[in-house]
Amino acid sequence: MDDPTELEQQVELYVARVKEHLAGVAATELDEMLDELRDLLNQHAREGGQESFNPDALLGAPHVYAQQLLEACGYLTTHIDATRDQKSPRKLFMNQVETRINSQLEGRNRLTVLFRIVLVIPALIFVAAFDQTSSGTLIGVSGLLVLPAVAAIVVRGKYPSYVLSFNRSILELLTRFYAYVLLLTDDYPTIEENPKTRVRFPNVGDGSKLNRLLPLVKWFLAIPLYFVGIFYSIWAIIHLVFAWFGIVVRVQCPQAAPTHSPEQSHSGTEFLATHLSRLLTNIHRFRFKVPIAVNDQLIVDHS
Amino acid sequence: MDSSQVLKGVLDVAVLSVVSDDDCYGYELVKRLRELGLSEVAEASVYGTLRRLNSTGLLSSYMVASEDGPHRKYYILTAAGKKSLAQGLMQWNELVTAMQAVARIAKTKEKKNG
Repeated sequence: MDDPTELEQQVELYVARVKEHLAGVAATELDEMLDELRDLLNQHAREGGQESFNPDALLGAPHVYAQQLLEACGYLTTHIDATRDQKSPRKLFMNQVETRINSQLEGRNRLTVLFRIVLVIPALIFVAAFDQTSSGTLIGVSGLLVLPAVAAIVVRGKYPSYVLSFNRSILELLTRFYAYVLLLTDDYPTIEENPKTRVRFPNVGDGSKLNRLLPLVKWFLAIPLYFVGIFYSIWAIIHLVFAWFGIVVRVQCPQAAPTHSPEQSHSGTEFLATHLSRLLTNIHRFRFKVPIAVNDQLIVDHS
Repeated sequence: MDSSQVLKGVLDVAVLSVVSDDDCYGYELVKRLRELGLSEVAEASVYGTLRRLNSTGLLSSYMVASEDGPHRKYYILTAAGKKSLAQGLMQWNELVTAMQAVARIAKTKEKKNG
């Protein structure tokens, strides 16, 4: 590429694509950000040679660049910081179940997505054996895992450590399972930890940090969440169908409508992954009936 | 271990530290960080960190005319930035010391197991 105008066009195209994902940033700051980006791209072109100049290869996809920029600027955590002003940061963290999913948007394994409904069966059998809502095991597993914990917390203010460990492991496994089923990742769900799909639990110690009366009314307080969960389930299934076709046909999650706030500026493909992931967070609210979760915090990473 | 997460946690200190050595602009800073071994650092993260540190008063900036492009924003460490850097380095050293102690446990266990 010897034509300088062609280089300029490439730079401007990349800048425009990044700009799409910076909606909500104040105009003056946005202009500065984009000028810096132009300068950065031009320096890359000068140093690396114009012939091999490829902005996407140098800086990543525009939405990734925009997300990294906003995150480093502190835009994507503004809403969390605002809450921290009102509550103690430590207390906020202590009450959170944090679901972090590093969703895979591009370069997907088309073959495993195509046959995912079949591939998932062995994992489904394993998970169903422990899933508290599986019809066949509802009474047994709930009785084994939930009731002793409820009794121990209400009567003694303690959460039996073996039950706590088991519940945590099951929730982590379920998260990996749902991430796989909902096409957020191509990593097969196993009981081993996976850094791409993590659940961080609050430190409840031996249970003494938990409210002793909440286990008695949590099932009631969770009723609105059941309705939210139904909505998210339907929403996720619709997106799942689009995602399946998108990956099978184009090897990447499909684009969706952009959002218009800095906190949600990870638009497009991330929009889809965010909604699919949000379902998982809500699932935790249902699953962890024993009161470890006061609030859930969702974090979605995109790679 | 997800090294990008570790990098996110220490990027502020790394940026403050390099700027404390000499005033620099975004692209120059990225190159210096990479030369120092932070090869995975993303340009966007560095540019965003510079903006944030500038807006919180840990860095200040001035514009310098460039022959081959628009004016460049050079960053310089403020007094608050120096204080923050000192605190950050102290926390980093404490973390390194703690992690070395943790690593020694693992090494001892490995030796015992042959």
